[in-house]
Amino acid sequence: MGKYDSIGQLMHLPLENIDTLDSVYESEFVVDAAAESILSTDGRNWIPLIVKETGDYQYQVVANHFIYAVVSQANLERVWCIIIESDEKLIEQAKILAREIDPKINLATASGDSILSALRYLEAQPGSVLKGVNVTVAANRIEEAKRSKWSDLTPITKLKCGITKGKKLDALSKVFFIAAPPPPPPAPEAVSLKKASEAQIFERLNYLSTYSIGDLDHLDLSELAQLFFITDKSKWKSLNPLTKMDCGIDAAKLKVLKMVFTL
Amino acid sequence: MTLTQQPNHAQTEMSIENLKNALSSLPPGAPEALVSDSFVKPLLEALGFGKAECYPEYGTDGRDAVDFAARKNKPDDLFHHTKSAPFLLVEVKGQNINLSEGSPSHQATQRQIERYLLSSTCKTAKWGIITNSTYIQLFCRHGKVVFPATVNLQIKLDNIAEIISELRHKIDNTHRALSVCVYNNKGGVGKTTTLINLAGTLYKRGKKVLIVDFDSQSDTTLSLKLSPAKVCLSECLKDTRLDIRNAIVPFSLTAKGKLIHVFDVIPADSKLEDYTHYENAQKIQRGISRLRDLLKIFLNEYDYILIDCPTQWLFFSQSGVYASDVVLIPTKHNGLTSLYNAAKVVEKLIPEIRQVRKDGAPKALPIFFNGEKINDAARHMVNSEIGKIIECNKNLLPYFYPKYRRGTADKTIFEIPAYASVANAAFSHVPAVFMNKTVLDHYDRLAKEYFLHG
Repeated sequence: MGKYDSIGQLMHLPLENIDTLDSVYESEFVVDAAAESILSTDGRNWIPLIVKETGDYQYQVVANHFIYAVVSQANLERVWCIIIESDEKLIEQAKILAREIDPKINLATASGDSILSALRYLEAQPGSVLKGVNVTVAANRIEEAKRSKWSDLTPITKLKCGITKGKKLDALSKVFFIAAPPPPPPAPEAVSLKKASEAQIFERLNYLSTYSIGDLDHLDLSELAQLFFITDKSKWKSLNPLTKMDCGIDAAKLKVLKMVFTL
Repeated sequence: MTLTQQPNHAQTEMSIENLKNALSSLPPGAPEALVSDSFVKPLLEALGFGKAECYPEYGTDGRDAVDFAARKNKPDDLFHHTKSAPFLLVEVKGQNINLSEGSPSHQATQRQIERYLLSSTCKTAKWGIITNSTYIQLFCRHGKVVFPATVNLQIKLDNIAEIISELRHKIDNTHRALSVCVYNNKGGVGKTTTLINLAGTLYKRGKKVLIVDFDSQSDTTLSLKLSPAKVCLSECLKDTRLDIRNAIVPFSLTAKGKLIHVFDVIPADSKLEDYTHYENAQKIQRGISRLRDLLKIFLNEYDYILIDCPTQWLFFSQSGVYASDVVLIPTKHNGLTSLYNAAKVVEKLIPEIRQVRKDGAPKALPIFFNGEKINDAARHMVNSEIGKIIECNKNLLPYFYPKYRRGTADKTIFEIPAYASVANAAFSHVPAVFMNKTVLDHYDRLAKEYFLHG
């Protein structure tokens, strides 16, 4: 949106230069009557069309398709429009604000309340396919599931919450998406377990747990750090004794610990 | 390859591929000789010039030689043999020379290509390229004016095809016209007088001129006693279906009982004023680029398109500057605000437009003093004010003192003196250059100083 371009500006554009790819269904009565309301007042559409520039002096409707149908019916020569940048994300946002598409939330990180309100929204839609699904139960099971590992929505069908593959899962995809979590920051520098302070050990265990590396979530990290610290390690020739301390560290976890600890 | 032959797609693809290979094989910091041999030769080929259409170390004035000159061969005129009428010049630097935007070497190399393009052996050259294989910039020459035709582009493997396509498109579509906006952010500096007398002078020099009066005050239109045609400029701005050719009104003079066509004018009309109102302005699609779009069809019909626009930096003047290749800035030596405003045009307003245009243009021409007598005391005072302006921004020096060189503190500023006949001419609705030979001499000097070459 520069000082000298038309992006974001309210423009009065010739209708013949504007086309649309999508058409929305609106009843003939509503379109005709709305067109009449424009013509019987000041001939001006007070809710603007949202258009993007597709070429020199060419535009395409991206949101407020209803207005397009009405001004076409009213046969206006010029239409008040806001020109939006040709950016998919921005256009999606405009469509959401125009209530032409549903907003979506990231199911990988959504709170239980958000999941429940989204399911209730879907349930309340006319002809909803979620009728018969207990959305409270479903929301709870989804919340409890390990969603951060999901790559799509299909694991929901295994939660035995009434949401099956097909129409029901498709309905959920209108309000939920899964975005992979951002990559973890670089790991703290590996330290020698023999020389490390308890705080240094905790910091490293906490890093692995926070970023779900090595499945340490169910372990008490402070206890573990203390145990690692106080154990006499002077005769250790490798880190393998960690697996024999009965503290929940098995061979797989040891492999991960070696990312941040040396002997 | 003759002028009419078009390269096929496969040929173009291959020459781009060669260029990419050349670029990736250049060692970092490659010296000039290597850049010339390994990069510029395939570059010229990718721009459509065969081996026999390029000549290295092409002699310009004196002992100077530009690294390459190029021109398409004609059946009876092979460039390699005749070495006549070069079309494109290339000045090459090594990668060890920093050609990034605004660097001292970049500025010096710009001056160098400008000198070559204006040299007596290169009068036919329309285009100049400076490159060190890391950066490349294309310049266009029209008469005495050399202006950027692209920004200074950084060359990378993934954008070289795009760069070549942009350069080639420009070179293959050389325009006849130079578009000039006469502008100062301060009023009363004689913009309209300059414009109509310059147009008259260029006509006398055999040039075909179009004047665009893009000022709702209609000063130019009224001073030539013209009225808008049936199709008017204000309507063309709004309605993309109208043909702006129909808005042209000829300006003619009677000599010995015969009507002589002097130049063409697109007059201002009363409805232009309407666009100062928000709701009407929003009917103009593409905003300040609309005028430039409208004038595109004239680029091969005229030698000069001169645009008059009002003082305030709003839609009309922004459009006028946007539509031009160069901006001519009249000032008054005794109106210090006109000097400060000229500096503002050069250092702030034109760069803003350049940023939107993204092709390096428009370029400011050095200022000139318009229409007042200047004595030594006044000259001393004005130089001291200009000194203050330049001290704040040293880059402004060539726009005030174009002849100033290292070691030669030449502070000459071009002047058009005041003549009563200029004022009287306004009442007879004829540019003064047609009424007074001395006035013509002065405007002729102005035309030669800024526009006409050789």
